[in-house]
This record gives sequence, C-alpha cells and structure tokens, in this order.
Amino acid sequence: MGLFDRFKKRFKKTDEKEITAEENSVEAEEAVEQGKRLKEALEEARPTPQEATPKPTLEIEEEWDDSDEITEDPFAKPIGRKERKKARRAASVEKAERPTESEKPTTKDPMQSTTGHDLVASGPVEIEINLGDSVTKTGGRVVMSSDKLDRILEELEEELLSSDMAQSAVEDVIHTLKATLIGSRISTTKKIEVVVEEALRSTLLRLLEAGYWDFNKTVSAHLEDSSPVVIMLVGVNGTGKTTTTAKIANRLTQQGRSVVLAAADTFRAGAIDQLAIHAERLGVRCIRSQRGGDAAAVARDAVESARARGEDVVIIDTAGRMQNKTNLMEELRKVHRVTQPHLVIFVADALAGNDAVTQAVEFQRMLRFDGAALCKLDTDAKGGAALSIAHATGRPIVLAGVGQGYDDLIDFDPAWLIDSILE
Amino acid sequence: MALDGLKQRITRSVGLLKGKRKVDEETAKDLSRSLRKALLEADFNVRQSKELTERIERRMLEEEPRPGVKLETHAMNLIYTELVRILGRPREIMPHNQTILMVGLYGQGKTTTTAKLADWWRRRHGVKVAVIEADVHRPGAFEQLQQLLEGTNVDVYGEPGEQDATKIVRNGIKEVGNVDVVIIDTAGRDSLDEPLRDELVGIAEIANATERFLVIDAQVGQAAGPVAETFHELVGVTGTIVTKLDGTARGGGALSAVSATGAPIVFIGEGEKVQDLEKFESDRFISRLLGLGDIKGLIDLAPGDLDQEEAARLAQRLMSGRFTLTDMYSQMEMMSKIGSVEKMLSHLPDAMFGGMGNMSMAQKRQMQGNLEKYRVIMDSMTQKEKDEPILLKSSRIRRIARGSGVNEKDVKELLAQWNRSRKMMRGMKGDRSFRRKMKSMMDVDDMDLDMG
Repeated sequence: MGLFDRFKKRFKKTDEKEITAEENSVEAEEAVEQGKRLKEALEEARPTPQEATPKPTLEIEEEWDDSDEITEDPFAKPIGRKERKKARRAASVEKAERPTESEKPTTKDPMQSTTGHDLVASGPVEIEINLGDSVTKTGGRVVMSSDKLDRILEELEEELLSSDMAQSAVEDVIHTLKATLIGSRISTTKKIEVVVEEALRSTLLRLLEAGYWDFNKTVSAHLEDSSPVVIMLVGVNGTGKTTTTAKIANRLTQQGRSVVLAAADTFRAGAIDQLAIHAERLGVRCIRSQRGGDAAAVARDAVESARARGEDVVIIDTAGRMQNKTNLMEELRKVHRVTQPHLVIFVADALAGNDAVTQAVEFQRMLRFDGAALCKLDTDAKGGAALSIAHATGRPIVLAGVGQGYDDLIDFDPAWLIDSILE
Repeated sequence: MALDGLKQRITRSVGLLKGKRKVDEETAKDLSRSLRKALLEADFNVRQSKELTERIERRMLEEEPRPGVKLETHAMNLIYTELVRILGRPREIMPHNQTILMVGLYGQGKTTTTAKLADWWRRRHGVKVAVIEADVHRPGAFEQLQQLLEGTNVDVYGEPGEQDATKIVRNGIKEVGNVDVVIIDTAGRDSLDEPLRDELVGIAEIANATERFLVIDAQVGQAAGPVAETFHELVGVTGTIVTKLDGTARGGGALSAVSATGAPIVFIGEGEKVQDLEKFESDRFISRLLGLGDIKGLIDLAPGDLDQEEAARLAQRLMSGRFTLTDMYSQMEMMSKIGSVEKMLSHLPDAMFGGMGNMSMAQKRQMQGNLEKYRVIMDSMTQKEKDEPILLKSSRIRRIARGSGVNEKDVKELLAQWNRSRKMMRGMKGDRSFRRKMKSMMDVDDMDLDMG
C-alpha cells in the first residue's frame, strides 16, 4: 500500500472537525496564534550554517590555488536570514562591478558553472513549505493543533523514514509542515489530505531540484572554455565509483568526446585492473601506476597527457574512503589541489541510510563537490538518501546509476524519485 | 567507533528517568520516543524500532523494578534484553569441511571479506584454506583477491575471462582438492536481476555449500531487510557479515537484516586491511553498546547451556544489592555449571555476589566444597523461606536438616554464610571510595550502582 493510500484512509477515519476549526471561532484564533509560535520556535531552533559546517583549513590550499579564485567562503556566511540576503545582494553588486569576462581565470570557481546558472551554495538547506493556492485569505477553515493531526504527521514521518530519508531531514520537513499547517486557512473546496500531499510533494521536489544542473550541458559548456575538462569522482568505499567512472566515459565517448581515465585508486586491491579492463572495453586510454603509488601523480599525469594530446575529458577515479579517516581525506584533497577538477562528483549509495548525511557533509566540507551521483537505484532501495544529501549539503543529485551495464547511467529525475518514495 | 553515537543516544534517553521514583505514562512515552529516535538514526528498521520501543514502554509500565533497583538500571536492563533478542543466538563456525558461499549486493565488500575470512582461518586456526573467485561480471575481482592474499598460503582459484560462473565453481572445487575450508566469492547483484539470480542459485547447487554468508554494508538503511530476505529466499542465508563498521555508520540496518533472515551475525569487518576482521558476539556487542562493561566477562565464562540473558539479569540484580537465599541459590547453580568458584570470582568485581570476591583462598576452597551441600539444603526450603531467610527459626531449621539429610549445624552454617555476605554488602553501603573503585572497575559509567 502506498504512502498516501494509508494516509488518506487515516484521514477518512478522522473527523475533519477535529482537525480544522470554524472561521472566527475561538479555536481558530488559538490555532493561528499557535502556528505563529511554532514558526518562531522553528526559526530559533534552526542551526546556523556556520555551526553546522566548520571552516576548512584553507591555508594549505592557497599555495596550490594560485589560479583559483574563491569569491566567497561558502562556510563563513552570515547567520541570520536577513543578513544572508544582504550578503547575497552585496555579492551580486560586486559581481556586476567586476571587470569583463576575459580577465577572469578559467572556470575554476567552484561556485560557478558555465551552464548559465550558479551552483547553489553549500550548507544545509532551509525547508520552505508552500501551501500554494490551497490557502485562502478569507473564509475557509483554520487548521488547528490536535492529537489526530499529530498522529497523521507521525505516520507520514514514519513513511519518509522508511524510504531512507535521514532522521534529521525528515524531522525538519515534518516540523516545518506542522508549523505551516497549523493556523493556515484552507479553502473549503480542497480536502485537507490533498493540501498536505501537495505541500509535501512540492517541498521535496523543490529540495531535489534546487541547483540542479544538466551533466551533458555542463561538460559541453566547460569544454568551450578549455580542455581537457577534469571530472573527479569521490565517495566512501563500495558505492560504485569505478563503475560510474566507466559509465561516464561511455556516455561521453558516445557523444564523440575523447576521454582519458585516471586510475587514482591506487589503494584498493584490483581497482587499477578493474578500471584498466573497463578502459580497454570502452576503447579509451587509462593512465595508471603501480598499486600503492601516488594517486595525485597519476591524476596529474592523466591531465597533462590529455592536455598534450588535446583530449576532451579526464575522469579521475579515486580510492573510496571513510569520511572519518583524516589522512586519507587529506590525500584526496591533494589530488583535488593538483588537478583542479572542473567538476567533483560525490558518488553516493542509494542503499545508504542516515550515514549518507554524515558522508555528504564531510565530503562537502573537505572537497566541495558540485553534484552527486546516486548509484544502485536498481536495488530495493527507495533512494531517500538523495533527499538527505540535498537537504544536508544543498547540492543536487545529477546522475543516477540503475544497473551494471555501461548504459545504465541516466540523468537523475527528481520527480521520478519523489513518485517512487510517495507511492 | 561506529557504536558511540547510538550509545550516547541510549544513555541520554535513559537519563530521562534520572531521579524518578515511579514511571508514569508520560515518562514511559518520552523514553520510548527518545529511544526510537536513537534507533532510527542508527538505521534500524522503522517497524522494528517501533515494536521494540513499544515493548520497552509497556514493560516499563508493567514490570516493577526489584526493590532497590533504580529505574535507570531497570530500563537499561530491559533495553539490553530486547536488543539481545533481536540479534539472536550466536553461532560458532568450525573451520573443518566447510564450503562457504559469499553473497550480497554490489559494493558491500564481498571480495575483501572473502580474503579476510580466508586469512582469519589460516591465521587463527592454521587450517588449509582455498578461495574461488566466481565473480565473472566485475572486472578486476580476481586480481583484487589475488593481491589481498599475496604472501599467504591460501590458494586463489579463478578463471579471468571465463563467463560461466558455475563452470568456474565446478572446476575450482575439483582443483583446490582437499582443504579444510573453501570460500566462494560471487558477483554482486541487485535483487531484481533475473539472470544473476539464476546464476547464484546455480552456483549454490554446485557448491553445495555448508554455509551461506550474506555480506552487508553497515551504512545500508531501510533496504537491508528486503535485501536480506531476497537472498534468504534464493540460497538460504546461514550467517551475516557486517562490513565497514570502521566508518560512522551505526549498522542498525544490518541488524535488521538479521531479524529478516534469522541468520546471526558471525563476523564484522572494521577496516580495509586483510586483518581487519573480528568475530562477532552479539551479547558483547550489545553490552559494549550499552556500556554495561564487565557483564560480558561473566557471560563469556558461561558455557553454552547457561542462559545468557538469565546471567545478565542475575548480575544486574546482584549489583542492585538485594541478596536473598534465592539469589545465592542461582549463583551456586551457575557456578557449578561454570566450574570453579575461583575462576568465576576472578572475573568479577569483589563486591559482586555478596562480597564473596573478598574471600581468602582457603575460604573459596571451602566454599567450593560446601557448594553441593548448600544446594541440597536449599532444595529442602520453601520458596518463601528462600526469599525471606529471616523466617528460619529452630523448628524450620530442624525440618530442613531432616529433609536434606544433614545436621542442623550445616543449615546454620549456610545461614551464617548468607548473613556474612549480606552484612558485607550492608557495610559497603555508603562507602564512597569503594563505590568509586567498583565503578571504575566495571566501566559502568552510566549505570546506577546502588549498593542496597
């Protein structure tokens, strides 16, 4: 039984009168007041992005980053909503006043893509719920707080958790939903379950669509500026980095691009062989070294040789690592520094539960990935991890792995995922 | 360590009971809600967490803690038994005449774990191990296994380039010949792919494996249950191996997989090196999780036929300080199963078992000799007498002595022994330095040690 079947059933059992109050009644006024209070409490409880993501050590990076222009430190953002807005405005003014395009170094700014729109800022995303045209200014019924509403929301929470959306993200959504619902005037023509469903669907969809960029277009746009375009894949062990590397290579060669693979996973036994065999099958070059060699050197070699030969794309397959192993993460940063990738893709496992958040946040802190590829979507996993990642880092899921064949890499479709979670 | 997060959460939940004398419905609900959150965050199955916390909530309300036991201890006790129940009984895998089939989704760590297992048995038991690489789909799998087992005497069989996995297994089993353990690594698969499923069933038939291990990643969330079920239907999983516990994932999903298949966790993987494998013991795992410290020492001593939950419960009760002849009786029962009094007491803090740990060597030996006699005597008592030994006056003593065929002197001796233990414990009450010492010894930082 799908989420909303059960959900609706619950609603039918419930008397609408217990959830909504008549216009102008005492209960309605109370509900409006309570809604306000809840919203205020929510605003206060929200962690500031600064607290959530500690500032990375940028000093070491600077000696490598001389060609890199960091316009703003995404982690040192002002705290309040208003201040953030102000800062954004100031930044755009600065941008407009900046000298012409030609003086800009090549597109290395991690916050900028050449697709025309900026990549969204990193950091946790604020959930905003829009009840849309379900809300009326006058008339209608006012939703009030009740045990029944709580129970319904609890059930909803359970369903979202069952789809592997992380606890923190679910809680945020449910609390915001509750605060928005209570005290709202709902038009009498719409049933409350429809209102809730629409609100939830649009919220989740917005969460996934925020900052979405098209993989093919982005690679093409980067190519117009410079070649080779360097794509780096990162992630914890066993999420499917090497397979995804091969799949991306396949996709790009089919578009007529020349691709070089860099076997920078010099750590895992068999990883180099695995990638080399893929490269052979796909007919692309693979730069490799001995097992245990320097990953950064391999990656750099690949970029240099691609540049020398005028090849289009370099894909760097890195070793999987647990995000809590500092030294290994530093090694990954070294690869990042020497190759200056145009795109960093975080490869996530659709099977992952709450740990997806910890992983994404930590990788985001260390490397600032541009987007994520969600693999193993062909398993029993519902893929709520996508929502967790988007919620925790504000970065979109752009690719989806749906099988073991080379063609089983598709552009991620937010609507499809929401449908699979909610139905 | 992956477990710390959950441990903190559970401790915090139990902390809600601090200073409370009675559980009202509200408190029980708060506790259950807080626990549920902790479990969900650790990726336990949603339904399972709900059931588990509801059961704890109910038991909190229905079951009175024993007098002298604080509510926090009582709650910890309930959580412990409920969690141990999920994990099921541990299994011992003997490294002889075993053919082990490794199954699982992609990227869970099957190939790495295959090498780890081979190395484990080779290292720990000195047996002859061979591995067969039957993953014909992922390139580089054979090379990976070879590189991992380089420099060991483990035979690695594989036919890179061959597309028929069943053929590799058939040839491999013939080729490796007479070894103690054969481990077969298979291709990762998702649960929808028909050809891969057929291939796995085919391999299972040919291999006729004695054990089928499901390898599952600690980070897997709610999908763990369905995944485990699918594999269970295909090959009949007999054991679970949880991998990547060295990350931050809390492994709740994997634990849910256990209840889906009934196949207990046998090993856990905690790193990328071949040596990073640990044998899994559920009760130790849970007591480590809950910070119950030394109880595991007690359990470890217990032979297979001793009910481990009972042992843990008894230990808890004793720590709470109320000490009747019934308790003394169950202690003696347990001791006779374990072997010597000395061995058992050496694993326990002095204060446990009514301060018997403080006894001199001679006393301990005497105690050992008296054990059997005391048990017989107590068998002649009524339950009421055992619960309230104070009732035992001369006429009752005479009756008991006649019933158990001993002198009245022996019965009095038993009572004197009980009284000594009881007094010892009463003397400890209020002795702060002693309590501190005991606390540090047992590493039960979050347990209440009220010494009766």
